[in-house]
Amino acid sequence: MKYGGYAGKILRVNLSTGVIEQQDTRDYLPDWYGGRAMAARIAWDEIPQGTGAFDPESPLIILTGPLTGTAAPFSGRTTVCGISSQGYPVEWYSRSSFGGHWGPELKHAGFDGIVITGKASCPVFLKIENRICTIMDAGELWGTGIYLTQKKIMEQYGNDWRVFAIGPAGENRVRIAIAATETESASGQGGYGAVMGSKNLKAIAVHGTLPLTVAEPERFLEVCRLVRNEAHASHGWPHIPELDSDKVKKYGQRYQACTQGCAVRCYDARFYTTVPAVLQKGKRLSGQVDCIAGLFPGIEGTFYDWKLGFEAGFEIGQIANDEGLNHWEILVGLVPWLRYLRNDGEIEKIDGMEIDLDSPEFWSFLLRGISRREGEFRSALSEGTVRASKTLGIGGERLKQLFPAWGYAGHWDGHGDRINYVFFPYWIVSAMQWAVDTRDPISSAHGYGQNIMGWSRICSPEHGLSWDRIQKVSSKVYGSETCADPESAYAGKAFPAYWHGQRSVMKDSLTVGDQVFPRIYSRKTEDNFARAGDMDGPSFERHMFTSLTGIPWSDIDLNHASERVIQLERALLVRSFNRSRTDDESVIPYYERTEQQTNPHIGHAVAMDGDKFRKVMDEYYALRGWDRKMGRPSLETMKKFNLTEEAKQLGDRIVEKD
Amino acid sequence: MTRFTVRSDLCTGCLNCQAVCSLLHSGKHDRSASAIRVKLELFSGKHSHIFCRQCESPECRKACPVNAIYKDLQSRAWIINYDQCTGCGICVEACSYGAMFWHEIEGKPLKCDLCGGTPACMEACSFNVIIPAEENS
Repeated sequence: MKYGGYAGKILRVNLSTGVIEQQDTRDYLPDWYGGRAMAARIAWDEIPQGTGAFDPESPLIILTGPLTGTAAPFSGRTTVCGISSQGYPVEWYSRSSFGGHWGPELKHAGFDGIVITGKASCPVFLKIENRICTIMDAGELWGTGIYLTQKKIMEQYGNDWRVFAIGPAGENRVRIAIAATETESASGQGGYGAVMGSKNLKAIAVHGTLPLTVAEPERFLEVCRLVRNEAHASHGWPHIPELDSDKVKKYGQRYQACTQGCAVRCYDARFYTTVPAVLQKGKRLSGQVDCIAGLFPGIEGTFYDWKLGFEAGFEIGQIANDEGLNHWEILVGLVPWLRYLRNDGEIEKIDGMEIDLDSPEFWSFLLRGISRREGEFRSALSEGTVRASKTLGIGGERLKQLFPAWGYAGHWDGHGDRINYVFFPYWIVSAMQWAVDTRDPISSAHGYGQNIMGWSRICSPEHGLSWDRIQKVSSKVYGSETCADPESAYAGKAFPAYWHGQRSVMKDSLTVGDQVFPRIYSRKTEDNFARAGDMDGPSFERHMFTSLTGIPWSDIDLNHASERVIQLERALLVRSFNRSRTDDESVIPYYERTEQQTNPHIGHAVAMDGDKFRKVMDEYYALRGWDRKMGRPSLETMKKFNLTEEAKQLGDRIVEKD
Repeated sequence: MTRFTVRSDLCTGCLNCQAVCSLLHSGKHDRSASAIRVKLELFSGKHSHIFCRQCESPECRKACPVNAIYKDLQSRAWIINYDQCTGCGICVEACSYGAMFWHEIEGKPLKCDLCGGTPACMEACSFNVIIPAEENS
């Protein structure tokens, strides 16, 4: 059966042999319905045990979803999966994603995704247009930044080509290397830029004019219209942001979609058309600033109070993008860690240069040195902050304040990440999500803590909701008002972590923007529960999916398929990396430190009670059908998700029942 | 509403206008079936748009050798009568705005029909980039 929304083929490229093949996407449909879901199936079937991130056999799996590039709002994203070079303590299977317009272009070029294995004998890039893929020489592009790489390819083939590329950091296998498109859309976390670099793959250029079919055009159009009109602002938050009038005049600040299909004014995404360079004197720069990149200038009165200023901060952010470095790691992990070490008197200089976070020259020296593996200290940092700490033998204690687990800096966790405001008990759900993941989980799990804080009157004094109303609305998805109660402590925290787990898979598989979905709270309905037409907010994604594809799934079906992905991913971690509860519990010491913000209902800052959190873990495992002792899917659970054959490969590492 | 204009300086590059236009008119996501086109400038941010101005005295109509382009009395949009259109493509060459497009697969020209008077692209644009044009502009 032909489903709507899909391009129909998956491109398979072996860079060692030069063999290019096309696989029918329907091999994975409807069960593994796109993006992260399809990648899990491919990874289970194809990644040999013991594969390292930089081994030629390590596949780089780049997949769109059925909604990608359609009229579905917020649907321009692409998911990247494979063995992560950033992963710690081991390189293991993980994921990342990026926005922009590349994924939609790939679909119009005839492909739902690309699976790349092998290693080219010299630098290459892939040229893909209307079902034809060619491996091209990238000798002249090697060594150039991500921006110039894109511009050179677009100059040669056309301004309407889209390019996903790596910079020097990826080429040099820097473990915090991104692969990116445009000026700010990166597969940022995971170190997949380094995986690309290890394959001598500089870029993937795509262009297409092929149409995508729609199962029910009228219904799909109407559902998209309703969902688009219901959306509020970028984080699903109640108040609509405005541009900064001074920056509009001075730097040409404007709204810019960080992903195709975005239909709201964003808090974070801003394009600047003309910013005078500080380091590159005489030049004027343009480009986008999204999300954490807004931290580069430094923010007075916060933990991140260095004084680069807007113009230098903008330039440094663009340098990081161009070199191909992970903004989150730099701003929330690496630089705060360096500042701790300097203030603690552990170090004064890096490779001969004094640590001065107010100096753009220092930032440039630091970042360019990391991406090019220059100097002993910066070369160590090229391995990521966590590995660098071990190599250099310094900063171990400070590391524990900034990095919850898996080699990633804090994020919506109430501890290491001090730019996002979340207090106890809401970060308990983040902690649970961190515990069972292989990376910073929040990339696709903003829906709980960010939503609650954003809708509270603490963060939104004028437009927010009362705690009572937040609890009532949230009970429609979590089944209990306790789950969002500011005085609930550990009670009711396992379920949101469980529920948002499936939602994360959904977002990374369909694909839709994490900052908007799932829609829960609203200012456009009397009871403040998001709703549009005949749809409840949490069902928006399913309605778009069914009317586009013709796959007649209910909410329960889509949820089940998404949870099945989590089971298969966990089984993969058990099979290949012996993942267990012991690993999950390794996040606990980080949270046993006192939180950074204070819940006014409690009146003092709180630290995690490890024993109580272990009970939350018990609850979570029970919901997942994982055995309490080892944290692994039981045979019964694997059967429930029709993964009986897969369970056989786990042998005695799983138990009969949870 | 009889015609619209586009404030390109406000465009965010979401491409929702193109997506809904092609979907409404072709039942697919077919870029070449969209009668509004956004030319993204990813590095300068200065996007531009190609769209029909619904000219008072349109070059496309004048150029058509079989008078296949007529004015819809209700929407006041210039419409292609495909029963008469021979697919010669002269109208595509004639439009000085480049807003008469050629659909390669279908082998026919296409232009904006204002969706009967309520343009879907305008509705889909969350940033009021596409707005009704002043009658005398």
